[in-house]
Amino acid sequence: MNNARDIKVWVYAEGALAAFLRHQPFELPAGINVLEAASLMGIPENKPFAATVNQRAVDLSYCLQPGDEVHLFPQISGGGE
Amino acid sequence: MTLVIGKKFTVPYDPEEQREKKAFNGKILRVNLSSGEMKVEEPGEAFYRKYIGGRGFILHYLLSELPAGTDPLSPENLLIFAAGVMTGTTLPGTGRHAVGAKSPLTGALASGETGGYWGSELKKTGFDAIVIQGKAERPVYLWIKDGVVQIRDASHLWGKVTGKAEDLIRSELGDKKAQVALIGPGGENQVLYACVLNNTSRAAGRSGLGAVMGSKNLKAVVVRGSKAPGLADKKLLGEVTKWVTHNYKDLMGWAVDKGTPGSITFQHDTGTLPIRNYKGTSLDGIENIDAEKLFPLLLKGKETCTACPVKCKPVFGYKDEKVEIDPRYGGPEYETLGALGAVCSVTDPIAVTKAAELCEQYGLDTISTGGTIAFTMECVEKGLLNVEQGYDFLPQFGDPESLVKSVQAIAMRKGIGELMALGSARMAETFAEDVSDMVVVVRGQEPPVHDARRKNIYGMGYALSATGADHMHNMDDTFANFANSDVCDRLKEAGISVPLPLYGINEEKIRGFIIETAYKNYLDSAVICHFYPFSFAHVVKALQGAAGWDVSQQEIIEIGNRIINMARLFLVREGFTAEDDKLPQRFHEPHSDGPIQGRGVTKEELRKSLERYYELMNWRPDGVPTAEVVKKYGIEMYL
Repeated sequence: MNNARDIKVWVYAEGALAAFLRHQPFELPAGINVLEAASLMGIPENKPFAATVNQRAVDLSYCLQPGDEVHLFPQISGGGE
Repeated sequence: MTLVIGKKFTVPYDPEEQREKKAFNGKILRVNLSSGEMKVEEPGEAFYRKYIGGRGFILHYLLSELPAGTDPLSPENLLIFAAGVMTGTTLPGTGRHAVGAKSPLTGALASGETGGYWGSELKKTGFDAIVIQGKAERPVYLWIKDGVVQIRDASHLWGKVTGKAEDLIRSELGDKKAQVALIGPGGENQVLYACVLNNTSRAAGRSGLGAVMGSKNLKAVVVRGSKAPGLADKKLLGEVTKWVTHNYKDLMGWAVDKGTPGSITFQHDTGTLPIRNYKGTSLDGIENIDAEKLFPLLLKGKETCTACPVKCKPVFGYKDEKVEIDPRYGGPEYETLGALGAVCSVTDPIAVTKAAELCEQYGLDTISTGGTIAFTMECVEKGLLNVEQGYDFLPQFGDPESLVKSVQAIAMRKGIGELMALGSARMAETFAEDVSDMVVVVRGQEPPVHDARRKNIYGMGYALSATGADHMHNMDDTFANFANSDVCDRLKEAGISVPLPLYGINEEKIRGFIIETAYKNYLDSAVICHFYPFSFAHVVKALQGAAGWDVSQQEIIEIGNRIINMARLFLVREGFTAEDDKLPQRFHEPHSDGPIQGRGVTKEELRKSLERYYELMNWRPDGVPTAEVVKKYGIEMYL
């Protein structure tokens, strides 16, 4: 991972993940992906989440671009009636 | 032999028997409602180790005893209630049971699991399962108390909604703690997707099990026992229980906090939640049916299942001058809110919750109810149905009032409800026009509310499922895309490289799917809750502790694969072919905007993936298990 802090992204976390995010925008190393970004922000590794970037649902390996708007959503199992 | 109402059949309790030493009783009750004959089978420990319970038992009896091609609503169909080897133990997540039959909705397998307290109470009676066949000459219910079985008159209960019927049964038995599994008017009227409820808020919901029960004139199966199962190794099972009780608040915080209703907005924003019969990409007001808004408005408490500390089930109640929602019917979960709300484009929280409550009163599967109403709404929108055809009302997208009226009409088969009671696939066949592109079903059943364009291998799971589209024995692409999810943890234990890509279906994803669906089919046979993030190591240790068997991770996977192959054999003998492993047209039509714009797999991509799956499963190219694999799993007697 490149440690140069050369991109800015806006990250919003929903529900229980919101407590882990405090500052906007985030300055992050270029080439970082969504999963790595969440880890740097302190989101625990045992909290599954899904993500959208610029309102499109993305793979967590998506490489963030300057100006991206990221939303992290806690994962919840479906099921039951 | 003729049915004698009230005659008792007694199985003496032997203190030296199986259940003193292990978590299963070793006894399966057989009831013939045509003749009144009752007997007990003791199939032996090897049978339990091979099939585990739940879906394994259900498939064994269907394959062994039900002639191929049997009409699902005829007396010959079997209705099977089955707990699992661990049901009723102290391990959280095991307070469940399964119900199964041949499905009247799909003609394939019906196999549903449900929580609450009924399954653990069954185990306390001394039985592990009940296999019911025949048809009573008039409405009856089955009363089982500590090995004493009685068929009782239910004429006075017929026509009663589930809550009222449960009250009357408990009152006449003089036992407030009797656990009641029953049908409502929907099952009595043989709505093809009627369900079997227990605790009036839990359902073996899918594929029309309630209609099968109704066709047998069986209103309820009531159980009450006093002897909890034993354990082979209390310490070993206790180690898994301890892990759960120490970690559930952290690992299952979502369930403790809001439960599944807390995911509606998230699933909408990520493109999982289908809208407007799968044509929409966003729905204004969706937040109104998410837990964030529902809880302040409706929450009255939380419910749980036997031995479960999580209490994930919200209980909703409401009363104003127009509407009353009775909390005894629990509250809608994610699938219900999605099917009755988003798929129908209704975001009125009171109307959606009332519609869900009515499904519990009448005994209807909420997923198929919502899917069928949405299909009808689209027919109305396109002018295929109108009030000039003589209907007193018709449901319309976004209209809360017609949503609620539709549920009542379906259960009573009145007006447009007569058609809707068939489910959307059979309803579509009644039109002169070809409306097949509007029908969203897999193997004749409306899918759960996880869009296959967002979750591609989940879609392949829909296409393969012997029960029609199913969200339980499946692998969720989004969890497989998060390296530290419980899904990925299990895949890692089985040697699969994780995380798996979110979109598309590739070789590693198919291999992962095979592992995860084997695990899920094991869970549905042991009848363990899918919400607990168990590892393979946990379930191995739990089974060792409960039954005393020296099982391994490999044996767990083999049990799951045995069940999958049995389900496939059932499909084959009922006339299904590889061509039936398919998705509805809408799942192959990418959205032009929204969170999953352009996503989905083509028919050709799906077919190619299925062919690779068949190959990896050692099935023939036409999707039939080979003689070799049938022999490997010891199921050649079902051929």
